[in-house]
Amino acid sequence: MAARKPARKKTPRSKKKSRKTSRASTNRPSLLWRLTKIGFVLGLLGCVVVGGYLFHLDRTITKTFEGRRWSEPAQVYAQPLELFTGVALSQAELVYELQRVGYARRGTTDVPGTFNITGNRLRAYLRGFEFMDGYRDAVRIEASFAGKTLTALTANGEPAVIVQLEPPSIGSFFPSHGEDRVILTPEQVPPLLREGLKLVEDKNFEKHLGFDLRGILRAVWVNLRAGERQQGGSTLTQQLVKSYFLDNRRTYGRKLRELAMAIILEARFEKADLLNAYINEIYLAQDGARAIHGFGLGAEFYFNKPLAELDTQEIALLLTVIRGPTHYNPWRYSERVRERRDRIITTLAEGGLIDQAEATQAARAPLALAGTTRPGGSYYPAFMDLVRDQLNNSYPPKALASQGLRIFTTLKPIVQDRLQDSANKALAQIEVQKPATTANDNPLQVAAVVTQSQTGDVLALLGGRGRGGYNRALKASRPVGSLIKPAVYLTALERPDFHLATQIQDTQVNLAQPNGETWTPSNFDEEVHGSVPLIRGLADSLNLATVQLGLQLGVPEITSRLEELVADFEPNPYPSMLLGAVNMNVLQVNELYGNFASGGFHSRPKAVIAVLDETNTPLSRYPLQTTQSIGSDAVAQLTEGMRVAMQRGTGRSSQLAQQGVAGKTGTSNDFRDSWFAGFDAATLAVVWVGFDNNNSTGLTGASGALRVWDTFMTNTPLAPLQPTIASSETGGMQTKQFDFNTGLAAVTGCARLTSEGVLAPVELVSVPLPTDVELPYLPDCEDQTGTRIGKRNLGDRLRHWFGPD
Amino acid sequence: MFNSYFTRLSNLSLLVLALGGALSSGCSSAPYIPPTTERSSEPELSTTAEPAPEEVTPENSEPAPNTASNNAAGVLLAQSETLRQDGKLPQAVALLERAIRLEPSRGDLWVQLGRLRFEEGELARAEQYARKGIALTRVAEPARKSGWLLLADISDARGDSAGAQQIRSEWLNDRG
Repeated sequence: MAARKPARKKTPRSKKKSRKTSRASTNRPSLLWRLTKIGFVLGLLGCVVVGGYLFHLDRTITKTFEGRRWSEPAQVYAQPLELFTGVALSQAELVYELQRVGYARRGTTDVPGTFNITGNRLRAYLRGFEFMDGYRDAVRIEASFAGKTLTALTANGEPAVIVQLEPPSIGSFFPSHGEDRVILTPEQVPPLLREGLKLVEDKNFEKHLGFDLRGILRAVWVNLRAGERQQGGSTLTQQLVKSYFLDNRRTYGRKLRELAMAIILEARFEKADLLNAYINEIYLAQDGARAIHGFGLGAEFYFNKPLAELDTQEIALLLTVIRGPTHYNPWRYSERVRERRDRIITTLAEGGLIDQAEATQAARAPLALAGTTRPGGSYYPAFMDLVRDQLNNSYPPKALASQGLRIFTTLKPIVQDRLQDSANKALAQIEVQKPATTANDNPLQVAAVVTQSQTGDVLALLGGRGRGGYNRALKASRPVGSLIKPAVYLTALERPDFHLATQIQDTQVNLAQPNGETWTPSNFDEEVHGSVPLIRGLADSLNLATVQLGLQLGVPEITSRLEELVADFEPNPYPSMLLGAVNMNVLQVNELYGNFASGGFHSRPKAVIAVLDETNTPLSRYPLQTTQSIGSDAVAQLTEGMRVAMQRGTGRSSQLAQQGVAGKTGTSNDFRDSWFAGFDAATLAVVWVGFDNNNSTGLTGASGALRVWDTFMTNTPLAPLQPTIASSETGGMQTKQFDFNTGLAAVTGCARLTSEGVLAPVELVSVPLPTDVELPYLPDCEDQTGTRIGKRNLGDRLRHWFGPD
Repeated sequence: MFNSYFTRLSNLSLLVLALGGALSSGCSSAPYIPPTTERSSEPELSTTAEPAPEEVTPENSEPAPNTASNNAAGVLLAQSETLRQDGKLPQAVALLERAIRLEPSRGDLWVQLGRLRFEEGELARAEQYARKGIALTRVAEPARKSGWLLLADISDARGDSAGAQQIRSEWLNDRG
């Protein structure tokens, strides 16, 4: 700055002076002298500008480099698989899970990270791992299986009760730029990769100053001779800079800028740091919307195992793809890739990094890529969004950016994969059966969440049909339709004057609106059913009965109940809320139904179990959080109501309808949103199906979301709901039998006259009711133990009415 | 961080074996094979074996519902109890939470988790766990009684002895 000021001040003055003097006299400094002076000034200015630019470049590149080098990302783990005798796990599933964490099937299991199979026995050498609650040394296990059950387990030759498999890493938070990486320290990088990189990409790496004139000349020569671009002249440092700024325009300006930055980096940092940054940074593949950067993640992506376990030919393949992940996409251009890989293997041998025998063997090996059905890849962007949200809510960003955090989460990859597969399968079927669902600008979409119903642990989260992209599970807040109804019925059941057999009125509603219009909702079947028992209103999802009941209870009462059951519930003060004119995402619906599925306890869906710092000290644990939100009698009745909804109501098309599950369908206006929320004794799953542009799908809750739920739950070991126990045992409630259509007591096999005058068998339901409730009997359907008219079954009554009795 | 207890537990393997057997009628009485490696980088952890406590039978270790992971969750419960007796409450809680994740519908695990939280002075959380444990147990299960007694203890700890007394009589009613 000091040099600039005098220069600027001087210039105009001297110019003026020279103009004056030139008019006054010609015997003055020559033109050459003047030009020299101007040139000098301009040169000085140029220096200032270039200097400033270099200063800017230095700031930019140093900041970028430091930012990435020093932000050791937080590693995020799924739940570890628990192995114990009796666990529902087939041998094939364990193999899948072992492969997910990168175990290789070998003849002998003499190193950690390997397994083999003999008949129904599986042997594995588990790696040592720092679990959430302590370090577990590497251990040899042997597991035996019978069908879908693990039947015996040993650890280091001794019978073992329970052994954890190390959890898959499902991603990392890179605080400076929010991408996931598998960051490697220099010690974690195989020497062959480190040295191979230099040999193949940048022979003079250890000597050059950021650019390599000889390398450029050699590349030009080689490329000219080969007639194609076989070698690049960029040093590793230049490639690193290029990778930081992801600018593929081939302009001289950009090249110069890269060159300058490379020189600056070389001046400022050690070679080893630069090489390690390169290894963690370089672009290696594209996985849909997700860019794969760094060799750690690249090894996972291409081979589904940790970098440390890669063979020679696999490292050679990674060295191949860095030259252009699209051009050298091994799935698409296997021959081209193979050719270059083998050339690299030869180079490695010539450079003395491997011996000839190893080279021959490596060159003989197939590409052996992770299959397209490779176990997950273990990256779950939708779930990671939830983890990020929950962490951001409890930590300042700075704490999350601290070194080497390890985050243990609730995700169960088995469940996640099952959910993703089920959704894709069910949606594909729906599209075949209902072609109208494909006649839209964008495809039918899905969002779903699966939780462990007693703990609220989020086991799986689906943001859409693909893996990445728009996360509908967190962001798509849509009208829930009839999913809201259980809250209305719960509010009733919590009052002493209501139970499942209470008569409610399914009659026409005409409600004047504030805007002068009249709200006249109708039932799905466009009929009016008159007096019905409360359970039928819920199970058959009768709109009129629900609105009448809700108006009787009061919309504010139901709203305040919902606010207790869902932390972030956004109320709608109008009666249309009784039919689900409130927006929620699948997580919020899950939170609501968690109250029911857990037997009356509220938990917020939870993704994070613990956060440990780099010394494995817990920064925090997220304890199991549960608060009683519903009394046991009310929740017992409500759950029974939703079980009957599956058995004979709106959920009856489910394959599991009769197998001890409870649930509720939801459909928003004009079939825009198809919902289902359902649970067994262990698992609660909520599914939304619809279009992103909010168009009509033509699907009801049952013909859309329930299909996804069904596909998922039929692939999940079922834990049937048990008949509610506690309250009936303590005397407050008693299981009673009555007719589903009328709410009147009846004996098995009895018949009733329908409103259409048709004789129909009674549809008996057995559900808990308050012990003191005495239900009147259907005419002629009394439990005949005394001397009154005899019990008449359907046959008797038909004979009585039509026959010569 | 928490690995010293694994060492101690390995010294308790016989005890665990016995307990595992007791917890799981009909299940294999195989001993838990605990991790055995101590890491030298963690100086605060003792590597010397500590004597086994005299009693490790947890209050709620009565036979539980016969389910698949009965043995595994039961063994974790027993280990958690050992940690509790060693005064390592956070570790005991972590292990019990692991057991609950194996078998979330087992009321006795929730009641025991409530007891641990009670000892940590976290009364509100303890109360909720106790309530959940009660909701998940049958009337005849001993854990249900433990749950009610825990609720009474919590009331006492809050200085509400009348409330505690009432809960104790509620428990009498609860027996049906």
